Amino acid sequence: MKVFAKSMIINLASEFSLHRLLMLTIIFSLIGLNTGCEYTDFALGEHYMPIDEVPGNSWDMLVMALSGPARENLLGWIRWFTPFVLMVLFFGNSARNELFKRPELVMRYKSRTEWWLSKMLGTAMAICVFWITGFFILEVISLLFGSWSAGWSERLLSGKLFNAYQLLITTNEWFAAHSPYEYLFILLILYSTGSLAMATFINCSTLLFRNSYTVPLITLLLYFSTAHMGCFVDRFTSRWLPGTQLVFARQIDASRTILRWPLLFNITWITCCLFIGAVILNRIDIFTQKSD
Amino acid sequence: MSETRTVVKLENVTKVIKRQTVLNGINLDLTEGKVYGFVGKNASGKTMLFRVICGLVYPTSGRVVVFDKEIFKNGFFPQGIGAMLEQPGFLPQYSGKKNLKLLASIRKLATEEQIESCMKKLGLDPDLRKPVRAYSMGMKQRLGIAQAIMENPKLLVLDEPTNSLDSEGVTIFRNLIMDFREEGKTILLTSHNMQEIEALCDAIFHIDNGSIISSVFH
Repeated sequence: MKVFAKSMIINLASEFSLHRLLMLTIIFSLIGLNTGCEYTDFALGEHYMPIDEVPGNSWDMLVMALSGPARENLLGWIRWFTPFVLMVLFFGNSARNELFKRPELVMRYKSRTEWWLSKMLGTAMAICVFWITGFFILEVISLLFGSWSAGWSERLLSGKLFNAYQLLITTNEWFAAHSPYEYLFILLILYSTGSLAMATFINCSTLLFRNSYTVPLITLLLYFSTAHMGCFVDRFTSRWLPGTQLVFARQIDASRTILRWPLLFNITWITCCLFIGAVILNRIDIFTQKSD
Repeated sequence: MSETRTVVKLENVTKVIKRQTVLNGINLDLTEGKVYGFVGKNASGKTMLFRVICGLVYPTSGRVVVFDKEIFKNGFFPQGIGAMLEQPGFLPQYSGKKNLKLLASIRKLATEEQIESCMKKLGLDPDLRKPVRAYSMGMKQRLGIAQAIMENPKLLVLDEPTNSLDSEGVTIFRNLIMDFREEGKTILLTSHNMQEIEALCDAIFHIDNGSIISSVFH
């Protein structure tokens, strides 16, 4: 266990750089600003909601930004999907890079399997840090557009927010039963396990194909298309599609299971990828084509 | 008279990659306390041989035994090896010492004092806060050697260790190898510099097209 704990520190240190932190801040700030502008525009536009009658707060924008793609709103879709693209960019190729470019590190583990499990555990921690930082930046930006409050706004609890912004969420019952902090915690687990499922799949595939770009592109296409199909076309089959497990709105709107089903789905997916990855890793040669 | 122990044993090792034979029936019996040099032109198979010994590449056929344990398709790496293969990949955003500390934290075989001592031996300042991305090629090479020796391994595998080193660096490296040999450790190294190999090694193997074509014992 000590090796895994140590390896988590190494992986976090490996994945952290100021350059990445800057990218993360810029992307989440843009998402927050875009959501805030949309929130303000809607409030003043055709879906006018008198502020005094149904006051909002900063949590409204967080829910808007993170709940999932909105209907007939391409910008909303891009806004939701961009952090996942960033996540793939950061962590999609990390195992392959370390394996082929840092053999002196890999060799310090007892076995290839130990290295692989340590690497993926470290990636899981890095993904959690990624989302926590992202949520924090979004909440800070949201404070520019709405006041701070410990609880949900009346606008959200009344359901008017969901109608106005055409989010897939059609119920406000769930929000009435959970605090914003519970919401963030559940979202963190959902997003982290979903992202890790994506990351293990990509890392596993890059070990097999030794290709940096094709596999992440195929994976993104897979998640994009399945999430799209799951949200807009066929709600029944969407339970079985990997992309839809990341859509929070999808979980409370259709299945209402919130965490049970997506967690089971994601953990099964992660376990399969870890096992297949270990099998692949124990069969491949670790070297680059440049070897003398 | 004490019997010298075999550290690395290769029996008819062959490696074929994409129908090309990169190692062809290699037989070696390397004992402790000696320095072995491997010379040959580019793409002759020197690095591939080192990768096989380190457990990174599986032989297509033949046996590889390191410290009495056979490296087979079980994914285990041989322990007690310090290696530098090609240019080591350090984390560019951290200092040299921080990089070494991170590497050492996996096995926990080297203390901070040992890390600092290794860096000093190689002419590197452990207190230098400069990130590795700002290091010169020679400094990176010295750091690469430091990571290979810091855990006091019984077997040292160094692929072209004097590349990019200045004359002072080469002298430091030579002294280091002499000290290691005196301590009874086994060292395998490759170089394009024949003079250096002849000055340092107890045995020299010439590799061409994946085969050992000649061997000279001093």
